[in-house]
Amino acid sequence: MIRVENLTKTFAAPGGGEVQALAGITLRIDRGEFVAVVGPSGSGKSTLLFAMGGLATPTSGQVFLGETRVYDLEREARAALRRTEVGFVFQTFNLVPYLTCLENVALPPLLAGRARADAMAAAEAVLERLGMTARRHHRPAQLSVGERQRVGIGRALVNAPRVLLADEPTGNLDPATADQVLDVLRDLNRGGQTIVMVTHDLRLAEQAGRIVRLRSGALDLAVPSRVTA
Amino acid sequence: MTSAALWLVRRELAARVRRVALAGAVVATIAAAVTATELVARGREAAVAAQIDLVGPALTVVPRGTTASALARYDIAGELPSWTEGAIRGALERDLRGIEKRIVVHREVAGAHYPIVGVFPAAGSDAALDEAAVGSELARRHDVGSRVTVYGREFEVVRVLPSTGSVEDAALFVPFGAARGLGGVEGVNELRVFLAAGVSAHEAEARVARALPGATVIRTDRGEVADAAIQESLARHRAIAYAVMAAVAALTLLIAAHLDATERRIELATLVAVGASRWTMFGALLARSAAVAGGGAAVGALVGSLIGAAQEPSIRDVGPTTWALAAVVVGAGALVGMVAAVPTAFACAARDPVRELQEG
Repeated sequence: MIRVENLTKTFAAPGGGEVQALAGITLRIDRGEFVAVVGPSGSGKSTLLFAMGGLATPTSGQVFLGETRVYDLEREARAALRRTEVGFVFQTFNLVPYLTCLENVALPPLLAGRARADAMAAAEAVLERLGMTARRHHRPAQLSVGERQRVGIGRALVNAPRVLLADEPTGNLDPATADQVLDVLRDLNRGGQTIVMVTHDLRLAEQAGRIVRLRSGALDLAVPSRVTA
Repeated sequence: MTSAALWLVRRELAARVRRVALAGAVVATIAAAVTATELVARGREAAVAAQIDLVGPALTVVPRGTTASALARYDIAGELPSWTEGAIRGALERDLRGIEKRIVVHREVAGAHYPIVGVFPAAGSDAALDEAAVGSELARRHDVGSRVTVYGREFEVVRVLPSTGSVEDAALFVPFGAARGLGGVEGVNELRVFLAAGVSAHEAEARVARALPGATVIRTDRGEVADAAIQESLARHRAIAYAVMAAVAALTLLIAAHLDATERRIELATLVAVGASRWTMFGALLARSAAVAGGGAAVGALVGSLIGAAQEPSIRDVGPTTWALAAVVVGAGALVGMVAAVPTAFACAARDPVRELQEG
């Protein structure tokens, strides 16, 4: 499903020199898996996630989504891939503040060129699935943080992507709300949705099917990854 | 640009109208100033042209075949029939103020050819037969007090005529009889027709032309020509002022676009993450700035039209000029807005969305 082969990513450090965010990561995620990526701050979790989603061009190595070599695609083709094959969920929700919930969720299909009515219908269906129909005409500022993250998940799901990439999706939520959001993700996974979730919360990570640990941009093999399902 | 980009721009502007109000207001103020200034200027130009037409220019009647450009060079061939003057008087009747008869010949004066203009003396004129006036250009060589010899006949220069910017500046003006003698002709070859105040030169031209099928009638339009030069100069200055105003608007819009894109950097990075293409983002930023500027310009054009109408009564009726000017102002505003957003759009396209998302 997703293969990451010997992926490296180096940034220029602000004070000169280089920072190696990813140091030769090789990883395979199969269809229907729910993988949690854990590690300390600065270990490269989010960079790996964005690289898998075609957003962070690696310094070297390859990312395969199915049979597609993601970074062999032109920039516009990668944007098209993000519209249809990948769904991002963000820690701070990143909803467009002037759009309603319905419009936020309809954004990816609209960007993909679908007709307005079609996009809105798809968004309605996703919001219903997430129990957010009653809030569809509210703006993000009028929602609780848990509801905002549900809308964020809806936006990531609406184009039926092959993989959902969640960057600390519960990082801004209280424990109870975090559990609710995680329940949503587990429900989706039970329905066959492939999910990769970055988190620093081991309690939540243990709810995933597999844990991948990163340390200093590399896989931490000292602690074995665990399969719970 | 995709329809999604336009949809986003529309939704954003509808929800955040206050945020763009300042930039829009600056554009509106400039557009209002441009519209009002241009409308008033054009109204005044039209009024002056109409005034000149009514009080001004004489018609010039010359022998058939003489073109306006030939007349401008004083290159007049042949003579007018003797009944021409009577026909003009008959055609114009009370609308006629007077007729000046001239004979124009080209003769050598001190080694160069100049037009010699014989002017029929006005009643009461005491000009002597050996006195002459010179145009301002010819006066450089033959000033007041000098003597000019033409074909063995000597004239004393007694006056320098003010510059008219025409061929007359290089002409020698002599008494009618003297010019006839120099040219060896009996009649006249130029009649200058002066109209009573309030008579349209355009209409008079048509009436005289109908009465004189054997002659050429030319509306000299000197006043309009002189006015055109002034108007041209004023139009140039207005164009410079408008260019400066457009630059101010562009700078305002550029700063507004930059501030907006900086403030919305996470939103823009998120749009990239959810699949907005570079061109969608580029188009959205350009369309947004164009919409702000175009909207501001539209409001400004409306306000400017009202101000213009209040200042210049002749433009109170909204006509094609007003509509065309408003369209140009709105179009130019939108274009300036679009161009002003280009640097910001390029800068946004060059940003790393991951960095924005991680640092945001």
